[in-house]
Amino acid sequence: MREDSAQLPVDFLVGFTIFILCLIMVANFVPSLLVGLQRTSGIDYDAVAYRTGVVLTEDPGWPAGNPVMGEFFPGDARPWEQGANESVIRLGLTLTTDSPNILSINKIDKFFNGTFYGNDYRTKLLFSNYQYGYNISLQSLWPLNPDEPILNMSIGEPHPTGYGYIRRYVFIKQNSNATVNLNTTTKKDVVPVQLAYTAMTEEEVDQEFRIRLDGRLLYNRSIATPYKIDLLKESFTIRITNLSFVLNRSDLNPSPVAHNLTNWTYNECATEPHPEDRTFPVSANLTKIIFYPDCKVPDIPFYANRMVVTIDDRMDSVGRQVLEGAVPLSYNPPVYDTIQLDIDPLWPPGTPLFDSTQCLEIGLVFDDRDHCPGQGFPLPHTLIHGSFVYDYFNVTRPDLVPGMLEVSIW
Amino acid sequence: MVKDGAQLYTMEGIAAGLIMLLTTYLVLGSTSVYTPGDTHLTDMQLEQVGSDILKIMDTPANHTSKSSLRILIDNTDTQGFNDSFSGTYFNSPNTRAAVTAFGSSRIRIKTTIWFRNQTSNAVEKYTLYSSPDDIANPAAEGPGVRVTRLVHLDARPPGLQALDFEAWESMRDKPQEVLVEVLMWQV
Repeated sequence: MREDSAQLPVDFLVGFTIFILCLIMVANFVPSLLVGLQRTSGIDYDAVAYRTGVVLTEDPGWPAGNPVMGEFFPGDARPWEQGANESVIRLGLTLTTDSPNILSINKIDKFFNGTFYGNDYRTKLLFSNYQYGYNISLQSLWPLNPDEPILNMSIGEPHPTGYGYIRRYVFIKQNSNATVNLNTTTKKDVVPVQLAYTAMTEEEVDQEFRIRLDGRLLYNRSIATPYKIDLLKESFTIRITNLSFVLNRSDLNPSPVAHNLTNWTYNECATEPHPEDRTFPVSANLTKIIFYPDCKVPDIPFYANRMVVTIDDRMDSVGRQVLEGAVPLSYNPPVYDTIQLDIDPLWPPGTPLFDSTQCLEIGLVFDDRDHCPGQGFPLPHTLIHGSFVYDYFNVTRPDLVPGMLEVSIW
Repeated sequence: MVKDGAQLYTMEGIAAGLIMLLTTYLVLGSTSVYTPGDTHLTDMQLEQVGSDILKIMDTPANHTSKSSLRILIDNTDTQGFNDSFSGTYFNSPNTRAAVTAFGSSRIRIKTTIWFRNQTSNAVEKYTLYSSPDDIANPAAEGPGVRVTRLVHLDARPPGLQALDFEAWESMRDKPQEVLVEVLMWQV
């Protein structure tokens, strides 16, 4: 019998409770539907900036050459900083994948000074065609070299009021260089070799100064990645100075010419006496540059990648020659004191193969003989002979310099 | 005995009423969507910066030298640590001022070194540097972030004896790894 005592039946309560619980669940679900999948006014710019910072400071980019420093296989693509802009897949600044926060100065130069367009940075770094605004800057905390200002490079536009930002601290690794000072060196292999007086009058003297690049020394596993000299991916500079010291060393060169003996008769070219036959030599002509694969038999007479040869710090076309693509020296300039070679990375196939198992020598051939055309024997005024090993003892490797990378995205 | 009076307060009625109130509360409360991550982006940036600075300090400038972090710990150079971490890197005078979420001069740090007791093998600590502004200072903004790095030491730092004698006694005088922990916060 139905009662009228105003009490809810238990089964009603149970049903009502189930209904209410379902209503709660649906009500909790509804707001997430309203969040929306495309929030064009709500892009997380901080996240994009963070991701960009990670790519720049913890990734070497792509292509990056062989992941193992010093190794090369025929299928390895040229590192992105050495190739054309179109070959770049991803922009990254570190030396290798296992050296995060250690940036390569060559990649920094290419990234900030290369001819990339705005959309290049968006597709190869931000990975989006969305028209992000960006500003990326790199500053060194102190100068890379003495007497220079701090490194300060940037790309992009000044940021507006609202933007995403990240700051990363890094180290900047610079390229190695070597200075061979012929005035101060005491090593026998870098001073002129003495020749007997009699032999010198009859034999041609090989006047060649060699620079030895031994991959087995340079890619020694005991040297950590940030400190390795990686000639496959880094430019390097060799500067030979004080050649004048060699040219005027009579104690090292017994030739009568070097000693300026006046009672010695030079019968050749009697009709065309040359002043330099009777005086101390003042210069030597650089005739050619030879590459020796495996440090043995000469093979390539000239450089096939890019090399800048600067004589006596001259900037004219004779004193400064850019050798590119198997082109020999255009001129054979006289060298009075200094030769500087600025050599691009030895990434194949431009040069003879050079990697962690190979040896490569660069020979600078001099000729300061007085050639009388069609007459007599060449008599060198001096002897320029020796070799210099480009290794961790002889080479200047600048210290890592700390820097700060800032990425702003809007 | 069940009566048929005005039964406003029956047990069932109360239960029903409570259910309806709870339902109303949950429905109204579900309109707010909380994303805790949004409130800590600035902390993430600060943590990344601190982690980078520790990594840079722990990397030697060349292959023959020790890292500056290693030297600072070996020498127990308390002020030197702050000068390097905050002064040289964070507040570098050579870098232009950047409009960031965290002003460089508002950062404070506290550095703790964790090591193992040579007898009990328990993990113990000593404070290498502590900012005069404690993190409990009401001016501090947020809880702060913590960055750490494992550093190898060849021996017990001799200067530790003057700084913290108990820690010096507990620490073994042999090659070991210690954990450098830097607490960073804004004021």
